[in-house]
Amino acid sequence: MSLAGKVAIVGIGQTAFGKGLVPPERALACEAIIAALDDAGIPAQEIDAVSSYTMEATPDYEIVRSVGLGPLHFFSQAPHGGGAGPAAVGHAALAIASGVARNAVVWRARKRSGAGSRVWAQTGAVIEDVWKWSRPSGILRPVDEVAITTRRYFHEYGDGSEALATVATTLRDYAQANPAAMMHGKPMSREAYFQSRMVADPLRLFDNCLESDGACALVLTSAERARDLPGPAVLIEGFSQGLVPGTQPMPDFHRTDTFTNSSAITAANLWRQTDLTPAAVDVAQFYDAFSPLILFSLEAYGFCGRGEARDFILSQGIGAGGALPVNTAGGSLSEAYLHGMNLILEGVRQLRGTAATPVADARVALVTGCDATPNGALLLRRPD
Amino acid sequence: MIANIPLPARDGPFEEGFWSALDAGTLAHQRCRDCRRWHFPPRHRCSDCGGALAYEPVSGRGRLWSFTVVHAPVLPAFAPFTPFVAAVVELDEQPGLRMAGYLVHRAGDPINAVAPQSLTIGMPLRAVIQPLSEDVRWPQWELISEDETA
Repeated sequence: MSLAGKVAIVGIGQTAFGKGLVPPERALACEAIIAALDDAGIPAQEIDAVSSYTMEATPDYEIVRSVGLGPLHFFSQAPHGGGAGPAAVGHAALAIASGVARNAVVWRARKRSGAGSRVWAQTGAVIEDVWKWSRPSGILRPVDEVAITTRRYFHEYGDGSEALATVATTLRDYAQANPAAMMHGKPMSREAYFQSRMVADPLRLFDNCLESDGACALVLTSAERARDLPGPAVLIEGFSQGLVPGTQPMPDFHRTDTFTNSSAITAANLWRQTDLTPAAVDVAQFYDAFSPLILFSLEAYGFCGRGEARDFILSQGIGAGGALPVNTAGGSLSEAYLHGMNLILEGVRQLRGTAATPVADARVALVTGCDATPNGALLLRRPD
Repeated sequence: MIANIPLPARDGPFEEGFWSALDAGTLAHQRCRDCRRWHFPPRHRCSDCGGALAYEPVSGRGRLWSFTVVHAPVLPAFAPFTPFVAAVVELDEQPGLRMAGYLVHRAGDPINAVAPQSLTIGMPLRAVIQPLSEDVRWPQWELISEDETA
């Protein structure tokens, strides 16, 4: 039994992305979902499955009541923050492929542009979860955790500062072609990148994702029904989650081999399900809350060997016309930080041929979740 | 000590031996009675072989595995100390047996005592058990010379 080709993404929708958006998070979610339903051409009453993140603030029943979905036969939430996006889609796809449900909505809404809304800033007086082992020692924020693994990576494989600069400036370049991107109209030179302040050495301000308000949604149905819908369908070729034994999200340095992590587990099980290989991937959307996660993901998903991502980025290229265009709408660094859900929408647009920076004749897209947490990935393809 | 520092809860499962060792001024970690692997953070049984675990003292010797220099904005308790080094130490007992902790020149130094320019990954360190608060102790990691590792 295989998931390949059984389920299609037939609708995408999003709100404006920005700071200080006026509508409440729930209203943003509804707006994105209605846009995705309109795009799909599926009536709200035919949606019988919903899926989102455990970190989503709006309960499923509020969405169902507010938009007029249902009745529902399946509702799910995927855990681990930025690791959840592909899994939120994958869970809904499994429900459809198995016949439990027929049509699904997947969404993520967030208002993160206020400094007080940052998860780490809400650390209480006593820490009960895994962060008890690191936060009192001054490893306070996700960026500190990723900076520590990045410095170790540089120690083992060589300084990657130039590659990080290329990641940040390439994604900013993509945002210049994408009117929806928060950094549209704000180009950034390499010099400006290197002049930006350090946040957690070796990571600078522009190695960090944006803090954004907005919402994204997708509509899924069976591949069979998708053929009768007016719009273009994108098929799910493969899906997996991955959680490596010993992982401690996110200060994931308690395993002997820090760089063979949950992404490697996800990748191995993803490629197992398909005849496609990394060479068949025309465009990738790697979860990029921090720029080094793109280096780590390039290696984990098999686009280059361990320690080779710096060279891959600098010599083969992740920009338009590069060997592997990456995060082509600007990603979390320069489009918006919707917890990775906007990356999935961009993967769909690329295979529809409607991306702001289209990759010529794109047939296969990879979308991944956060490399620093338990995660997941989706392999998407255009119907033959 | 840092005023109003967020503190680790001491009542989590499998960790009583860890905190009681620190209360006594020593550092101990779980070790498998069968395969002799060390483990941290605490767990129910050996995640390699399934064997029973018991707390055993470690040498307190380690090497700097990696670090970052933390700049503002940070949690309010840490704000007076930025920028400061946040570090992960690999204990000599076993590759992968790692802990976080302040780097210091002498026991009791503040979190920002060590300049990042003086650090190299792999440099030797020695645990000195210090209070995080009245009720919680944690190892600080003292920079030592290679001569002192013998």
